[in-house]
Amino acid sequence: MNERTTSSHIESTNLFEKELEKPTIFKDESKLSINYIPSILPHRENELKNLINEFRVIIEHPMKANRKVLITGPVGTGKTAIAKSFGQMLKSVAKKRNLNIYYHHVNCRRNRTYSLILKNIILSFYSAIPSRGYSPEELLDILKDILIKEKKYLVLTLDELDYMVDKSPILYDLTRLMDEEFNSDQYISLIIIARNTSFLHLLDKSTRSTLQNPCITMKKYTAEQLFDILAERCKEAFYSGTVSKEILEQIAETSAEFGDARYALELLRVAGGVANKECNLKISPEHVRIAQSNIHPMIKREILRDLTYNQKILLLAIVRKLKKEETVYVEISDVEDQYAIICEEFNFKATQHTTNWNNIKDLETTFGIIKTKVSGKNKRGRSTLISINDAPLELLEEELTQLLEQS
Amino acid sequence: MQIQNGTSPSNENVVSIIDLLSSKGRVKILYLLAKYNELNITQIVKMTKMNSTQVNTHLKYFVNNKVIEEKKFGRVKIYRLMTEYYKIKLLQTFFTHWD
Repeated sequence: MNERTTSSHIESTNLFEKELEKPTIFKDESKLSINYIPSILPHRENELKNLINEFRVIIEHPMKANRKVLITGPVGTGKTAIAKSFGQMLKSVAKKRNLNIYYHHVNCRRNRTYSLILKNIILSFYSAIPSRGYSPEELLDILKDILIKEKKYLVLTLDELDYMVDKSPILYDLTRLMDEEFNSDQYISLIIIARNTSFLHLLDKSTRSTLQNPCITMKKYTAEQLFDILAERCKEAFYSGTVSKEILEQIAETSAEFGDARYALELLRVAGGVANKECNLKISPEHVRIAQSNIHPMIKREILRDLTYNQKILLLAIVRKLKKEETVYVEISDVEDQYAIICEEFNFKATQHTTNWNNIKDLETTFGIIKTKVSGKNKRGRSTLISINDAPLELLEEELTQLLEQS
Repeated sequence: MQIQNGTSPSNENVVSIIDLLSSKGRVKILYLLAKYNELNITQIVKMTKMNSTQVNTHLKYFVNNKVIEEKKFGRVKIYRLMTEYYKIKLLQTFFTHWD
């Protein structure tokens, strides 16, 4: 028995080794990942320059001024990329000039409440600060204390602010942190990233007035611009001669419909993966077509990744039920039955109806993945009906199962 | 052994090594701070499995003798070894190399 286990272990190691020995077209696949920010951002130079000019004053007159800049634009237009790129530059300039300026980037989709955002900022300064047991007011005092006592200047980016639950208090408090003292030093500047300016109407008047200007608006990328982005990234990610100009044009034109650079890069990465699997050292148009059928622009992987484990299971239950029933809508009670089965499959303790209902509302309003409506006249009682219109169920199921198995 | 990175050569106020390592509790606290750089009191109490009064007494002794720095933000207190002093840096190197 033992011998058999050892020999199967050797066999699988050999298989791994064999796969590793195969030639690959990727020089560095990670350069195509959504988390990678390249040193050059093609067609975003002007926006980056605008941002730098806005923040010039905090370098020239440290601790004397603060800035609030709003960056808006559709998905995949480089909002996060220019903010992170600016952050890197700011850090190196501050270091060169011996200035105590810090840059911190918070994703409001992952940190959706006032407390979570403050905790995230504070922990970036001191990891030893206990992360539980403090009210938002206390956390704000701790942050203020850190900045004042250590003479630190913070440039904070609040990314994807649209997803935050209640935006007014944090924006008000952070923009007026040093308001109580007369002509006092300034310690914090804000960069706010959102898809559009509609969230401003939800804020109170005084906060809205401080945030409206300046605003940097990013437009969707054109096919030519996407081509340049892909060409630049290709140099870093692939060996030369593996991706032709025509392929890049094909991907750029396909993605231009959405103007989304993230989708274009994902398409290129998946097409590369398909070519690699076939041991082909050149990406062909057919590889791009296969990649296109495998990924869907409406399925935002980063959104699925940010869901909680329970929400992923619930969404998977909705997907499986819709697939099985072959209807446009499914009832919440049917989804919950399916949910219980999937919970068992993944060895997860199923939550009760109220939590599930809240999660379903969250999937609809915050993440925009599903749609719900209340059952109509011809049915007894009132039941929530759930539907998914935008994304193919097959791909969603595959993606969710993969994510659940990984976590 | 030469320690660089802006550490001053000596610290006048550093207590003798015999006093510094005179109890198991003190060694435990110094070892943890050498390993984790910064800790709050709850973390120290949990990791050393000592009671908070004992930990507090040791921490007070270390702070008074400039072995440990106490930072206070709001009602949070954070402790770290004062590694800007040569002898303390040596102590940290000793603890981290022992493992």
